Amino acid sequence: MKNGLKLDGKKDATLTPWTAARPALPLRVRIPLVDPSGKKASPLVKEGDRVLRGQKIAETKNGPAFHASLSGKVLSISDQIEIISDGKDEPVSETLGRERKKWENLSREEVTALLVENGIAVPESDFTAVVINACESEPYLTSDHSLLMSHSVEILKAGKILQKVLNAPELVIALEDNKSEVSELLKSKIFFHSWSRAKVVAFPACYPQENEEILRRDLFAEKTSVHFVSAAEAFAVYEAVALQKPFYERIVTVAGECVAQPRNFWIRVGTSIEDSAKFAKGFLRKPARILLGGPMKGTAAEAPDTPVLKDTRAVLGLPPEIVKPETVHPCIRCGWCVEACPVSISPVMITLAAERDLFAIAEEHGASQCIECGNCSYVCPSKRPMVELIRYARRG
Amino acid sequence: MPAEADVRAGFKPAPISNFPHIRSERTVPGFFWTLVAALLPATLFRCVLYRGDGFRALTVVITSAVLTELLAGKWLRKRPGVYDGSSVSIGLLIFQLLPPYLLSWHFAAAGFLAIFLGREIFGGLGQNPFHPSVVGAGLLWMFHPQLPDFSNAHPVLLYGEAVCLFLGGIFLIVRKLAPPEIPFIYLGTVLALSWIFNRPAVWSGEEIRWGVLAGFFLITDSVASPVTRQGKQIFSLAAGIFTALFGIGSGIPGAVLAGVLLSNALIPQIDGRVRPAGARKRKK
Repeated sequence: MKNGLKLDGKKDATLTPWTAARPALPLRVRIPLVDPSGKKASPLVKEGDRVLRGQKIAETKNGPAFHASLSGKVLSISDQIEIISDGKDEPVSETLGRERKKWENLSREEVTALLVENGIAVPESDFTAVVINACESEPYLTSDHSLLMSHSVEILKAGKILQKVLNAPELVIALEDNKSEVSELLKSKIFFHSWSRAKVVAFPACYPQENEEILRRDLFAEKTSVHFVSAAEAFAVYEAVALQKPFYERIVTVAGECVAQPRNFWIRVGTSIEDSAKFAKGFLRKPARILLGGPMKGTAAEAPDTPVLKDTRAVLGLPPEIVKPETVHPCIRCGWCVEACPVSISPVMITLAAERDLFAIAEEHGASQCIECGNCSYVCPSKRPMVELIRYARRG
Repeated sequence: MPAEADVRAGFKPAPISNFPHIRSERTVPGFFWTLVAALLPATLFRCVLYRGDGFRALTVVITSAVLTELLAGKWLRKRPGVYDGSSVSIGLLIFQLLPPYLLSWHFAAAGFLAIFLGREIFGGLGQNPFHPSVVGAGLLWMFHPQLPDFSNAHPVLLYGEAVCLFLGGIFLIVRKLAPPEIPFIYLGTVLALSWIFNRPAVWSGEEIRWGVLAGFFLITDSVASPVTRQGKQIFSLAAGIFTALFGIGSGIPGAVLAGVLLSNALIPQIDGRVRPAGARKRKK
């Protein structure tokens, strides 16, 4: 990748210690009833029902199922299912978390069905390669680092499972070179288990290395069919197939300068960001913004009961000096955005055209190739809303 | 105009919920005040050199430039004048481009013309095709061709000015406001071509001083230069060629001003042809 941004990592706070802690149970969880593609799920339980941990509570047609992440009573069902904990954390069956007999011998169709049943979306077709995306080049994020250090063999086994499911001969684990102990650990496991066709690729720590388009260009020739899974998703694959456990919890980095004791935690899906912050002993000072995800690509949370989802890597409490609201100046054509763009388009020209509704010119300068990484917005001295303008140009 | 964010500058802060949530430390005021800081050694040197006339000229031109920007902001674009240091930097450059023996109203006019005709009528900051200080100084030249002789100063003092400008220019490069090769491409081209065309005074104080001024401060202006790195290099080369060619017949200041203005005129062509890999025109 050319033109990446070297951002200040700020990862030390959550890497001492790097193990992910298991906090106390939250009082309630809220599971949104929308699957990643936006389809609404239909609930399988009613208000007042008692549910158990790992119980399937909603499903979409041909999509991944939704599970309760703790045991308790269903409080309300609207666009999300709210479950209030009974403190017992009772699993839905005795076999939850126990190794499934002879799971290595399951067929491709059986594994695919298992994954969907346990809350993981799997494409139907064949692929040339599977990439486990453990790159986290945004500041503060260390959940993949923690996961890979503690569960490296499970991730590799998950890679093998995915290779079977997707009929993919190649397996690549992509991470950054500032995680050298992780890549050494993975390589030693691959060596001792004699896994062939599994490769660990360490990239320079530049944002946006974790972007799928950038990884695809850096790893493979054009037109290779590649399936990307995040490291957390890969671990969930292993747990679903080998340990009979649905995807209801994941490692989330709770960090940011406002947080009292930043750390990686195993957080149940649906836990509110307020409760997640409490695991980290709360906020020392009021954050200007609470983010779900990293500071470059994450979304700002509007309400304290916003839930943590299956793809949430981090809950960040950032102070006002880091997320200052800036006044927007006119473009001074400095060209720093062009120097920062990883796909070599011309953000300055696209946004200047977008401001004047000249969509053909914006397209000519590469608007449709934008990967929305946000590098241009980051470097712009005028603090122009580059990503919004490029999106506007693409829509127009 | 996009509905969800009124992106005309200075009106509203960008909406807070959109990524990225962190931004680099660089700002537009920081940009221009750094430029002002880079010009300070040369400004001080010139003031000390020309004493009364120098201080007078400096004060008049900066006041004129800043006032013009404030008034233009009020009348033309209904937004308060933006205190980002850009008009101060333009005033300082005009102070370098014109001899301080001129009358006060000459400097006032230069400041006004530079900001108004050089920038505001094109739409304000960021919209000017030509370098505003060069427009201001150049217009004054056009209307007053009998300007007093520039090379009145002792040659050693001209080299001194060149050194101050050079130090300021290196400061600009270190602070990453200008790519390092651009001034040297310009200077190298001018000196090489002048030597080839056998001009008598290639290494004179005047030529070096104007070359350093143009190469480090006029060519590197962020608005009046192409956006891509290679575009800036081509622009620098073209400016050097034009300056050397014009310098064969006329004096050095005129050659530099005309060279910069002519290559400014080429910027749309350069930007149209020199594009990053993903933005190139596709063959249909």
